[in-house]
Amino acid sequence: MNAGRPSATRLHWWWVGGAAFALFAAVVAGVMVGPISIAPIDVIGSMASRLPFIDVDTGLTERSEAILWEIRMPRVVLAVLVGSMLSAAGASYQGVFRNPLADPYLLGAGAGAGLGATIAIAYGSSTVGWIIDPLPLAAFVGALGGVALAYVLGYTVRSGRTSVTLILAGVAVAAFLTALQTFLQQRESDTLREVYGWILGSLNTAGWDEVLLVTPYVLVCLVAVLVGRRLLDVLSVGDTEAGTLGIRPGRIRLIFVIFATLGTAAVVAVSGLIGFVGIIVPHTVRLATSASYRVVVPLSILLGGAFLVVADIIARVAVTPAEIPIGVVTAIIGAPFFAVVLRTSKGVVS
Amino acid sequence: MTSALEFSNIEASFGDTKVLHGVTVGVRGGGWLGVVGPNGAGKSTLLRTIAGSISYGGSVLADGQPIENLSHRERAKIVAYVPQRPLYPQGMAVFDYVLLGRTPYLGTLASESREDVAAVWGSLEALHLVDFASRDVATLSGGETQRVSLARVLAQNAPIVVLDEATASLDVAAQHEVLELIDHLRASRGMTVITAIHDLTAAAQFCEKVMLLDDGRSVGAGTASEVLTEERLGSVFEPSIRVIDVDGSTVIVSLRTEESSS
Amino acid sequence: MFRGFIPLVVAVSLIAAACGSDSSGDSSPPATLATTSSSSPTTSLTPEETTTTTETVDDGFPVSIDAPNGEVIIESRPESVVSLSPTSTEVLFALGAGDQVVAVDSMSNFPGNAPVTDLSAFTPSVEAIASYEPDLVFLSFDPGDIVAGLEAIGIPVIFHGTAFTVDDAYSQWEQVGAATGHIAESAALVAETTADIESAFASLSEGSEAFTYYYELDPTFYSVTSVTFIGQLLAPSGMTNIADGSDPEGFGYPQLTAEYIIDSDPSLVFLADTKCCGASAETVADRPGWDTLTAVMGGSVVELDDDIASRWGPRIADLVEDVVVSILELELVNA
Repeated sequence: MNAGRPSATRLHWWWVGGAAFALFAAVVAGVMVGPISIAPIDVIGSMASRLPFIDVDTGLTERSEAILWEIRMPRVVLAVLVGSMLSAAGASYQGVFRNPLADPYLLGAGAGAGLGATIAIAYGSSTVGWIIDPLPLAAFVGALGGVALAYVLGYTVRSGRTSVTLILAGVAVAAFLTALQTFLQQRESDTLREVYGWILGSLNTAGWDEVLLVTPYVLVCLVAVLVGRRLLDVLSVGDTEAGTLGIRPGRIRLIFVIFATLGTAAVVAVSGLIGFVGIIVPHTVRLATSASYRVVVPLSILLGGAFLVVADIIARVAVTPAEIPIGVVTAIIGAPFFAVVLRTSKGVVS
Repeated sequence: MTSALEFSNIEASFGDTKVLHGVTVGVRGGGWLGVVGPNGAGKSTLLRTIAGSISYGGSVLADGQPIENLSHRERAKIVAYVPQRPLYPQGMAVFDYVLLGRTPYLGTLASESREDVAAVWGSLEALHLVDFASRDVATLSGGETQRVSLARVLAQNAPIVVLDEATASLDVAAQHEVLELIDHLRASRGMTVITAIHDLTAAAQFCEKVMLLDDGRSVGAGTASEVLTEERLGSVFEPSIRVIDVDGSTVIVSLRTEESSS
Repeated sequence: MFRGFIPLVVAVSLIAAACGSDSSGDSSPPATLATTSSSSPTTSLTPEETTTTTETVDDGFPVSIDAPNGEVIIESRPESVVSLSPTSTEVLFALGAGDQVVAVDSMSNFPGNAPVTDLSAFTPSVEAIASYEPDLVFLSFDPGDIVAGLEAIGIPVIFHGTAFTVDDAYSQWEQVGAATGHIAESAALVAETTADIESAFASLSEGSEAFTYYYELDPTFYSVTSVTFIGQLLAPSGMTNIADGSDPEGFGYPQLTAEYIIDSDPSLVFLADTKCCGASAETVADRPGWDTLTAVMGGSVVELDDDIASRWGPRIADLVEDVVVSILELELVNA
């Protein structure tokens, strides 16, 4: 705050720089660290060799190169994409529903994806040999279907299409789809472990294929949310007043939900249901910087990616060479981290 | 630029209950219409029709043009609205809150321009809020938030301003101050003001035109002295109301008599 | 005359002794008598021997089994056995008790002539089981105290859960044999399986001890270590299981990472997730980075049958043979 003319809350360059640096450091750490130790100098050498006209003889075996480029690198990139998308989606949902507890799975995206995945796992063995792997497709369709169902249900309520009715519809839909999923799991109980593992979230079968699958959705949705973030601030004064300020709250809400859900569905299809990220990251940004969505959205994107990369490092390294499911890691490190931030903050929670 | 406003045969219902039965009233450009009446008479509902947040029958005309045909954005450039209980988001700075008033002038995805920022700054100055610019709106007192709401209205720069109970939670002095401020802005900028007001004295002293609403129907519209008579008020509210002249100003009170206390 | 009388008395006494004791196969027969098969009733030589004891003449029943769920007493040879355990089904039929089986669960797909029903091995219901009027039930999974429920209505239940060691599996087979009146067959089966396994491993040279292997349970890299049943079964091969280094607590079923597997570069890769999850040598080669594995390049990715790999019936010998064959192929390649 300067003593001169007041101005709108701005995205200070030092905030962006700090967040970008955190992301960069996380990515570097993610590539350097893993169950198999590869000397950092060799990592750099191998990356340099990918540039034209440079060829460094790192002495890495073909297998180590494969580990670096086919396993670790896509995994880190995927963590960045998933983390930023979930955080941006979480911020969008929080803004659009004016609810600090909103997360990307609020309207039933998570439950729908879980049901889709369960169906694919239970009946999918007969589809071996399909061109498209049915599991991510089923999860993707399930996530979108869940949210669509919540919207349809919410719109049938005569008293209005408010954000509250939509949230309640989402809760009802999520409960219903989860019940279906549980029923299915009981009937096909030999799939229990596989479904449970998927639900806990994992990046451990990631390759460049998964990255390419997810990237277009994530890029489009991140850009959409980023570009429209000012409207989330307008929505924060409530539907009635926002309407008198010249926007159409229901339509804006729908558009944000569409993009947030599309991106969430895409990353969930590939990485399972990773929780906590969508709530924790935007909140932490809010507490540390400003409640304005002009700031919260871009910083959530950067820090969300960094957070998930760090969580993935822990997942890979803590009980190496075995793995912890990443959903467990995000919960374990997320909760106390959030408590600390809450205690040391200015106490402002939107 | 002033803009006259006219309610033409407004009808509204909540579910199966009809709340407004064909209300018609108008106010000149630059004038001040006070809508008074008992609780539940339909004051807020009438104002919400202008805000566009409820569906209604009939038409609201700004300078003769029905606002039903306007897009949300165009309507927002003509009418600014403050509800009875505005929402002050936690963590939002006063400057940003007032800046929201510029929303109708910003493209969907555009950011504010230098003119927008200047408009906000001008509003803050007019309402003596410059020192509050970076304060969190949710931490302000009642009087301060009223001023912030007015600042946003000013930034919106609409010729018609609709305030639902602008002074509901203020003490006597603060209420007077806010009403004076509104009147001053009205006069200096030519704003057309429509307020729902429960304080009959304030209505008598500030509103050049008053409409008495009872059970969704207009019981009278005109100057304060024409409409706010003891006879009329007595039938709408209660018989012990007195309209008194004090040093040239009208005061309307309800006396506690032997009959009214029984 | 007096000298010939004593040998006669001795002989008659011996005969009487032999006829008096019933045949459970354990009493050593007198040298002069040939034992008949255990299923034929003994003929009495003297009138006194016809008063038999309360022991029946029917294959050693009633019999008491010291099952994991407690002592189970089976009064007579069961003729309507219900098996809710694919492994028990395989054992029953291998012992020749197939004609005593009236119903098996939906996953008991071997042998093909087993009477498959809708009964579920994982979510069984007491009423559904009872509707087949069983006189013996085998379970390998006990959710919701099904065992107690069946015992409460007087149905003999034997709970044979997952075997932890190969000897556990053998003793389960023997119990199945005793419970159904096929004791000799069960002993023979155990002996035969042990012999098959031993001879399979015997065909390996010392070179196999230099090999390492990765045993995959599912495509998210869950594996088994040497403390598990499979691990113990394959231990005599001398190969090292790469998952051992990743499981300090000895939990047995760690989830590995692709990095670790690739870096370990196992000599052999065994896929036990071919049926459930569509894993095959091709899908494995498609995994990012896996094409650098020696096993992938050299064709040492072995597709196992999920069912054989997850059960502890007599087909464990088949599993061992498959494994040994692939080791031998690898030895040939390396030679």
